[in-house]
Amino acid sequence: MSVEQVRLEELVEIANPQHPHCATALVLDISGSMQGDKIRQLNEGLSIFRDDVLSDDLARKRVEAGIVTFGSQVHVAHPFASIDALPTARLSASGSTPMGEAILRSIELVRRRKDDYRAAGTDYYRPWIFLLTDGQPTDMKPGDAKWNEVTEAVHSGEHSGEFLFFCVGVEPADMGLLTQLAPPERPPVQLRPGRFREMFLWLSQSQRRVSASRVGEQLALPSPQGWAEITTS
Amino acid sequence: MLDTAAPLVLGAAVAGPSHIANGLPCQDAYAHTTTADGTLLVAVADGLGSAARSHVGARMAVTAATTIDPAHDPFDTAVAMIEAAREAVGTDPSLACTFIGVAARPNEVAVVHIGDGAVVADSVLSGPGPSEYVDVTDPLTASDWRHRVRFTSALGVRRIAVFTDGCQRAALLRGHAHPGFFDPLFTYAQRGGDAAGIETLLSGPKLSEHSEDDKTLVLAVLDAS
Repeated sequence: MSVEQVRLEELVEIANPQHPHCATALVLDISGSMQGDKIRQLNEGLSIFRDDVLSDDLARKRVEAGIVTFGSQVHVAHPFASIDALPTARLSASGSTPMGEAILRSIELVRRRKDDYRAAGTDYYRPWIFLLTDGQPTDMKPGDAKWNEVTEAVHSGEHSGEFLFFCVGVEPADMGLLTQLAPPERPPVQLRPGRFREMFLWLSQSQRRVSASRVGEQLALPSPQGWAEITTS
Repeated sequence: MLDTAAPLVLGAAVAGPSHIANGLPCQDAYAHTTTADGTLLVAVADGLGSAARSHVGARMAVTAATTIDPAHDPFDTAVAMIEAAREAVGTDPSLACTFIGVAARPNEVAVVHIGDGAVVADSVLSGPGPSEYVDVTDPLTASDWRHRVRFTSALGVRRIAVFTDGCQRAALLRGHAHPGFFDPLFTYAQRGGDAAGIETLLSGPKLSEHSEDDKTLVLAVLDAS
């Protein structure tokens, strides 16, 4: 390099030396029916998700994860933070299934995270909300006020581009009910038995793609074939 | 007749580290020319990552935009630039790209802009647009492109920088131009720095650290006398 060129590299200051952030809210059913194998695989899956994202140089600087659990109560088990902060503390299962409240809480969490980004001048990708459940909601049912509120929030949020809402049903989840709850643009998928690991790897691979993307309107996600059933309900 | 020196223009476009790593071509393109009547035309385009031949689309757009006959009025010239660019790529989504066209005469600069990237003079003339998310932007190939184009005109502009979104985080903070980025660059241009130096900067560690994307930067000093 010439002297002038060397000085250019030294003299130029970067205005906003931050990576854009990619926020994913994991909304996880830890009700009593998840006890045993399912909660164990869920916990393992979280570690797999975390480790796979961490292995990607770009994604590790961009992906943020938060966890909302629903069982005996709705709990923000882990507020949004960079992926390396995702705890290895184990989730345990008990209680009922306040899914409606958990969904509303996760939407609020995502909104507040975007406020944080804007306040900090950080760029961001469209956030993900990823719901995993093995049952029916116990705090709402189709047609009641809560149900209408939650469904409207999910559908309008997806439709307006506020977030991407993914819904995964684990046996014996009511896929018909989840189909009404999920955005029409993005129907729920059913987890093939025992495929938690593959699902969480799909999630981390997808996040890795998002964090490297500049794609216009359509992001091509990896195929969920390894872990998803085609639901006919 | 005004005795103004011809504009000094230097630019470079480099493939981003992630493109290089994945064997993708640079999807940015730029072109510039000074017409016989002294109008400077600068065109910059950024092919969308999801579009299969967007590097081709970007190249077609900037070539078409800088081979038009200028109008007397820079605003009309800028309009002609984007019309020509749009005609070149049409609605083919595989050619999707953003587009920035600049037409500059000694006393007036006009900018036509769809998608992200930006134009900066002493401050931002045309910013990246209203998109909330970094991975979403408006392409020239959109069917409603006319509703998404932004126009800006300014008088008394002496220097311009045009760049794609790969440079945005280096150049802008909360939508404002960062003097620490632009002052050394314009000084470099005014002192006779060459395009190779810009290319080296764009592919260097400082700019690659937080942006894996393709990067294009064109600098123009309008009255170099």
